[in-house]
Amino acid sequence: MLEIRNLTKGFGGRQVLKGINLSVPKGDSTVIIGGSGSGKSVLLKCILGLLEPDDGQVLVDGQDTTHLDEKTRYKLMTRFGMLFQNGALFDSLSVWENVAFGLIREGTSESKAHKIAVEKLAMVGLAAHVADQAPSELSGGMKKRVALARAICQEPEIIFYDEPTTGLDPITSDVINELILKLKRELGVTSVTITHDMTSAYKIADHISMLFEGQMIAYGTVPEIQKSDNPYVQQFIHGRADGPIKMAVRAH
Amino acid sequence: MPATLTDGGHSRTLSTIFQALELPILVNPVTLIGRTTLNAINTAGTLTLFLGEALGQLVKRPMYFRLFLRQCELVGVNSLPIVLLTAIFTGGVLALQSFRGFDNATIAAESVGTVVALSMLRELGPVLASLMVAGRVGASMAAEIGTMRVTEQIDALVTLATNPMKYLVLPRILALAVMMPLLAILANVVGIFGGYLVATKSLGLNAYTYIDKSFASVQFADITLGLVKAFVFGIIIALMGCYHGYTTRGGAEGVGRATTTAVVYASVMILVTDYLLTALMF
Repeated sequence: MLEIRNLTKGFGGRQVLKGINLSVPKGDSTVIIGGSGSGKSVLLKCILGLLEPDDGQVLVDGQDTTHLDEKTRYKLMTRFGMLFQNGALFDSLSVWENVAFGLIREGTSESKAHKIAVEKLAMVGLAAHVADQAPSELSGGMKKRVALARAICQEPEIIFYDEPTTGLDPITSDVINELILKLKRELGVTSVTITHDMTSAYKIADHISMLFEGQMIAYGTVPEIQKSDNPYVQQFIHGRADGPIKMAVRAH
Repeated sequence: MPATLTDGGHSRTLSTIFQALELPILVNPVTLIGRTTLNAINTAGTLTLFLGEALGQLVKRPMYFRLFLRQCELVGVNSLPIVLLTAIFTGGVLALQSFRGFDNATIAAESVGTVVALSMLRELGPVLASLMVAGRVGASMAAEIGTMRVTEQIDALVTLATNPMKYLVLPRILALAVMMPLLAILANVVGIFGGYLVATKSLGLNAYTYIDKSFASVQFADITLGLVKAFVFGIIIALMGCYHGYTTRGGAEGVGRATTTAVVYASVMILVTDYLLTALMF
């Protein structure tokens, strides 16, 4: 349902994505792993149309979405849901207004939107009284859940998760992982996740793809990736300082 | 022998003069002028496109009328205290200063009102009100939109199928375009009243003559000039606040930079545009 063909993107002469190919079948959970600066976020933004790729195609149900006019682009957006790394909740709005943002924009009445928002909050395990709080009053984990509720509020077909567990404690991380699995199970959504948290990746992925220096260097199911003989993959999934991947900052 | 500027009848270029005088030059002055000019033209073009994109949203549905009203309250109603305070003291000081300028008490009595009324309406009402609003509202727009940019809230708007130009930028530009002339009208009235208070209570001028002369000297064109200025300044403030906020890069430091730039650019542009509009409509 989502297919990326030969996607390239550079900034001021520096090539960040060097021809990415990826196919995400309907209902699949694909996790893209890779270190900081490997181009994960840029890839996600290119897929969403927040950045315009230099070359290549992003196909949704066979339709190229890289050169859409404004109206069609925003229409397509209603089929997507996105969970931002730090939630990106609108701090001028209350929690329920955040969750029901898309509904209110589409003209749903406030009372109905509020009711739906409370239902979605319940889906991510938040009590109804949270609905009237301000995002600034919430903890990091709660913000992520609210952001998740907002991402699923309009029942999207594809959800993108940008580092859903980064910055959370291990238990809260697992709660978020469970929620992602629950949404997949109950709503049957297709999802693309970028993360460098391997625990999370193993738990939520049907397929894992590894991005390194702007290229996809591995793709497979969880056991396939774990058994991969690619030294880059092995170093990354086991989090070793020594190996072919040289980080900019070394411990010694 | 001292270095001369001409050598064998040939003028030296500016940079060789610099070299001859052993002045430390970092950049060739001509390059600097060229680069500055190109940057200025580039920025002017980008700003025009930005404004055009925002105004282009006017014809597309849905309209966020409620956001517009909310902005009117934030930028207009909430700016009243500071704008009126500035205006009343400006009117007062104008009366004091212009009175000092006339050595004849009779001429002073007839002229102070005129000076205060014309200065406020044509110049100081709109300009000072706009400068105050630029500091208050321009800065907060840049900071708010800039924070939304660096915390990915603007990206989140797009993923929620909402055009940020329409949702964030357009209501702010419209609100300031509408509210700035209204603020200027109130600043004018309060400024003239401040001048009147000082002239009659402190300088002992005749209240009837003061009011009579003030009204007699003011023409409709003086009022419209001031209001046209305020309208243009309002757009400038909103444009600077929104543009610099929207293009913020690099975290908290970037937001701080955007805020400062928005206020400085807005203030400078207000003063330059003020001159141009006055020269044009004089």
